[in-house]
Amino acid sequence: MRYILLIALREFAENAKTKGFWIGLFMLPLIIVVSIGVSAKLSRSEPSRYFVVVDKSGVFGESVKRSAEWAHQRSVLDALGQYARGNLRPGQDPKLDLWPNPAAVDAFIAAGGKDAYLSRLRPMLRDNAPEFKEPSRHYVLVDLPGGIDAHASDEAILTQLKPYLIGDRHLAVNGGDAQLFAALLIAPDAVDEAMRGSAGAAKIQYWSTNLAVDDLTEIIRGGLDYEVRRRLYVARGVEFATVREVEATRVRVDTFDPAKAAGTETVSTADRIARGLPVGFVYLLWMSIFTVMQMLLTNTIEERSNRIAEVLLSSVTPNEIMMGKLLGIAGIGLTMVSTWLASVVIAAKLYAGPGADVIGPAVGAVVSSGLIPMFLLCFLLGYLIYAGLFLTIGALSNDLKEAQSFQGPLMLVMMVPLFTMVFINRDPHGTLATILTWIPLYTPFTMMNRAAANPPLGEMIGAVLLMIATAVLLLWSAGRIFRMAMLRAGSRPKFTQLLQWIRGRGDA
Amino acid sequence: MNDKVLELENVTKRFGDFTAVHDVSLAIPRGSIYGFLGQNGAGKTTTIRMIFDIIKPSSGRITILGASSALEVRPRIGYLPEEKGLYKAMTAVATIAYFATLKGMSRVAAKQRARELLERYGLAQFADSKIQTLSKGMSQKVQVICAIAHNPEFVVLDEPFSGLDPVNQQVLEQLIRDLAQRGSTVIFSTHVMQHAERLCDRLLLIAKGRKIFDGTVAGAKATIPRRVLISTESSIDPLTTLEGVAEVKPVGPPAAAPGPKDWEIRLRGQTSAQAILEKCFQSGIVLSRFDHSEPSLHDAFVALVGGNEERT
Repeated sequence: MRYILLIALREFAENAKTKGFWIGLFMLPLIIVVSIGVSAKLSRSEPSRYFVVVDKSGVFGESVKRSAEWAHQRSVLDALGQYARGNLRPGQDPKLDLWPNPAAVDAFIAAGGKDAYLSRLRPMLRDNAPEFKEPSRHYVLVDLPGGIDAHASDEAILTQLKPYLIGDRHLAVNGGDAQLFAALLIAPDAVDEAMRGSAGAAKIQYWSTNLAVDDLTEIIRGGLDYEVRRRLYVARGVEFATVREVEATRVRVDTFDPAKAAGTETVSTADRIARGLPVGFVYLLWMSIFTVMQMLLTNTIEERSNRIAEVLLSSVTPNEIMMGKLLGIAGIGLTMVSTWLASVVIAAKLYAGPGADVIGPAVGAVVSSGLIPMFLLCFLLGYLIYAGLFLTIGALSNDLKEAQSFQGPLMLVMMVPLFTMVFINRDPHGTLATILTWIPLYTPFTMMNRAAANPPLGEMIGAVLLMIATAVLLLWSAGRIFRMAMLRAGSRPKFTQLLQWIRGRGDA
Repeated sequence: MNDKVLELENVTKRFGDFTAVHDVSLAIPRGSIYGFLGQNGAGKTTTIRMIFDIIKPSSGRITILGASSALEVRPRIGYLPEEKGLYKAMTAVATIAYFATLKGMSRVAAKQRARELLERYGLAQFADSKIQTLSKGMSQKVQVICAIAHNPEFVVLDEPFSGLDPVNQQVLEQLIRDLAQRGSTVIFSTHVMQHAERLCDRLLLIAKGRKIFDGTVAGAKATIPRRVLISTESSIDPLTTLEGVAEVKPVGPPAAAPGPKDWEIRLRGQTSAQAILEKCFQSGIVLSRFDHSEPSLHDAFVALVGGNEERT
């Protein structure tokens, strides 16, 4: 045992010194931090976009303006909701609907907007709460650039607008220059046409060079639809206020999970996220196992390609070498995995962007759900199973190049958990999930994925036993091959020779 | 206490149809420097691997320091394999310390000992360099130090001199003598006869897996007849009939030109060269050269291996 530990210690220390280890260690946390930072930065710094409306109908222009204002108020309410959730003193309830659903936005606007809500919230806020910052408008309706006559023909107006839309000319906005993002041209008879439901000539034209951003067209369409529907209701003698009231009705559906303890069956948003998280864990598991396998492979080849095997074998047995390597590299893997997990949890705790109030409880749910112990179990057993395969490959290869030719086909087989992880998560007790559970190479990934959905206990135990049995079998045969291959040099052994080695016969 | 550090009894190793080592027996006394001589592929490395229980003999028995497997006595033995290599990314001192801890030394003692030895053998300034930055000769010295850092009672050095420059070869010879002086038993294999001749108390000579000689250096030399080389213009007929002369033959191509000719006179048994010299004076043979030198180990080796080949 002393020798195994000595070897493990060396493996751990030498691998911990490599650049690859440190890159691996910090890459994932770095990616998380950077992507959170970038997305937060992007959402904050999205520039305001300017558009013009040439309304010859005399009706729709106002509708679009109102719709754009409504969209802005919704984003204000959304920001206000986040602000309140982040800064209210515990136990305080402002009794305001701060989720940006349509009825809440209407109520928000009717009550007087952010000033009214803020005066209501302020007494309930923490002492050190920062000032609320109103988000900037994404889409700003501006007047036609100077010199363009709104009553001219469409062609004439477009000819004059096009240089602005293309970016050859700029609008003067707040003392600066800005490009015109879009122009909306509404024909005089557009309202009648829309109420007839006709799909005739283009009565309403949206001009923009950027057709990838479709929020603005949604805002415009929403405003137009609202106005036309209102008119249609009135035309048919239905009171529109009643319609709005009726439309505000929402049927409440509460979701429950029979597998959860009595009294806690309610499924919260955090629960939903927790259920999706196994996919993240599967990905983490896959990444960690195969990062570590690469190290194991390189290190197994090192002794032979550097001709260290023989001097080692005068001090220790091949089994001790193998066990030492397994143990040392497992240590490396566990260090990496714990760093990753810790960084995910810490990042989630520190994260304060959109949806932070949901992610926090979700991470809490993960921590308390038993998924982490399951992850560690799947990591260890998966590690041992794949180590059996990679040790064999390492023992049979004289150098890394040879190893890679073995590794190619294995890599294809190994991609399956990645391709299937989303489907298994969606249907954790389905045929695919059940089949993959019983294929030992996929058992760790599949069990990790199904863990949150409470698979039958019998299946869990069976899967764990299968993983242990597979690991033992593969490591045992890897041990036989490893022992015979340690001193072998030159050509690869034939398959029949391998079988002899596994059966314990044949010569090195 | 057994004064034999290593005993091989009728050891044979077969790989499939090929017999690498054939019925070798041998006993190595404590405190000696023992040379393993043989051509490439003679079975030296296979024999050494069996001694260290890295591979098992097909038949026969090996006793090392009283144990039946080298693994039982691994802290007391040291090994420098023929295939030399080290962990490239480790420093010299860490490498030596690592192998010493695998031989049972504590980590602290191993580190200290590693530095001490690096200093003694002129590598102090490279102690903290990575192996991959060392020259081949330096890394080979590090490897020799790895084999002896734990003060083993019994050391096997397989081809320790190959790849070393003459200066470092001398350092290594001194190292081997130091080991023997401290009471360690050293086996080293080589095919450079001068090293064996200078260092060894005893020799084992194997060819094609068979032991063809086991004994002292003098004993090896005694296996080939002693000889005298002379140059003369006179007739050498009187010498051919002398008792104790086995054979007289010309050396080199028969010279057409007049002048002294070279002759080799092989002596029988304990015949002294003095008798030849006396006979020359008596018979009036005018000598322009009389050369009586001991046969070298090289001659003995060639003769023994050649003889073995003729027999098989």
